[in-house]
Amino acid sequence: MPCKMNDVNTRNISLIIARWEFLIRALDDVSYNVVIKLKNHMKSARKYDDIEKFNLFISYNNGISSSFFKACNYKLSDNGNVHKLEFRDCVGTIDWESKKSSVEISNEGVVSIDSFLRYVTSFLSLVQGGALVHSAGIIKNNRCFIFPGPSMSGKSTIAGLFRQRFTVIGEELSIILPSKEGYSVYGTPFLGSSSVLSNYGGYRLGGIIFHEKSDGYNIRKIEEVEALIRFVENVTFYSSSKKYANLVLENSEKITRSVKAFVMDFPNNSEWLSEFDKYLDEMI
Amino acid sequence: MKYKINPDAVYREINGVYYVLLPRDKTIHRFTDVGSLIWRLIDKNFSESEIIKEVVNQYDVEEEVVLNDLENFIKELVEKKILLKIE
Repeated sequence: MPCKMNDVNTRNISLIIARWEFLIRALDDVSYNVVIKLKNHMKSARKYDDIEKFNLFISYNNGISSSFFKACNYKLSDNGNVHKLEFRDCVGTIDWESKKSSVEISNEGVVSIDSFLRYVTSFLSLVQGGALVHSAGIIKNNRCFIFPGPSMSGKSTIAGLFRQRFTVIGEELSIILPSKEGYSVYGTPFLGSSSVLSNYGGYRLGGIIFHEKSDGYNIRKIEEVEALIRFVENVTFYSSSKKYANLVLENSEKITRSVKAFVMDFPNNSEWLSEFDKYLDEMI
Repeated sequence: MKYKINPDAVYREINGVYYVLLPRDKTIHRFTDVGSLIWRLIDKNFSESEIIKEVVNQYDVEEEVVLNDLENFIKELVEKKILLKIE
């Protein structure tokens, strides 16, 4: 049974809008301009019982090539200028000529939209010479230090511990993009324990700190190859295309070569934070 | 037996150390110094016997030891589909 607009979780819609606004902020500087507006238009769907239909208007400066969608394992139907995308519970059409699109999502579709945005962000970051990286980020002296790591590696713990001492720009995913001074880091509002952020960053990358939970604190500088491999393991990379795999390696090499990298053991208490702070001052 | 590098594999060399990424499994593999030498030789289409000879020459080790290590190394790469058997 189709639901009405009032039934839709408005918080989820707000999150979607926040994510697109974030993309505009982060990527507009590097020539992409993605604008999407959610329109309160509801229509019953053909394929799903509970579905909301939103109209999404997309305008591009450079455009996203259809090969990207193929590379991301979307089911793509090509009918001239109109492409239909199917992914999980998300069905969308894009008219490349009029630059308009529609997307149908189920009530749970916020997850699909989130996945979709991750794909788009990952792709755009790679083609711009950067990367979308599983990492927390803190600001010190106007520089961002990222803590790349997979789920359960302690990113949220670190962000929580640092929050009193530093500005935290994210604890789940960071976008790293080339800038005049090297690389800049942006926080992201993707689904996570703190999915809506007030500070999206744009800070110069200061260092990369890989981390492991431990009983005690220790930190050591690591060589380029070790940094690169650890870094690549945390780059979000959805495509099975060799072209994008090459971009992952190429961009990761440049990013890890641009700053110092460290491995840090840390306990779940705040006793080591002063020592860490001092170490950063000495090393950077 | 000859092998070729999986055409889907993306690999690079930093300071003499090779690392390889297979886009499908999204796992990155790093080779040791000897592994990097063997990888370089495979990339140049050296046969197994030619690789053994080259490693023996460069590392001054017994041929039997190299043969054993090489078999294990290649077996692992084939299992991970980084290398493909061609004959």
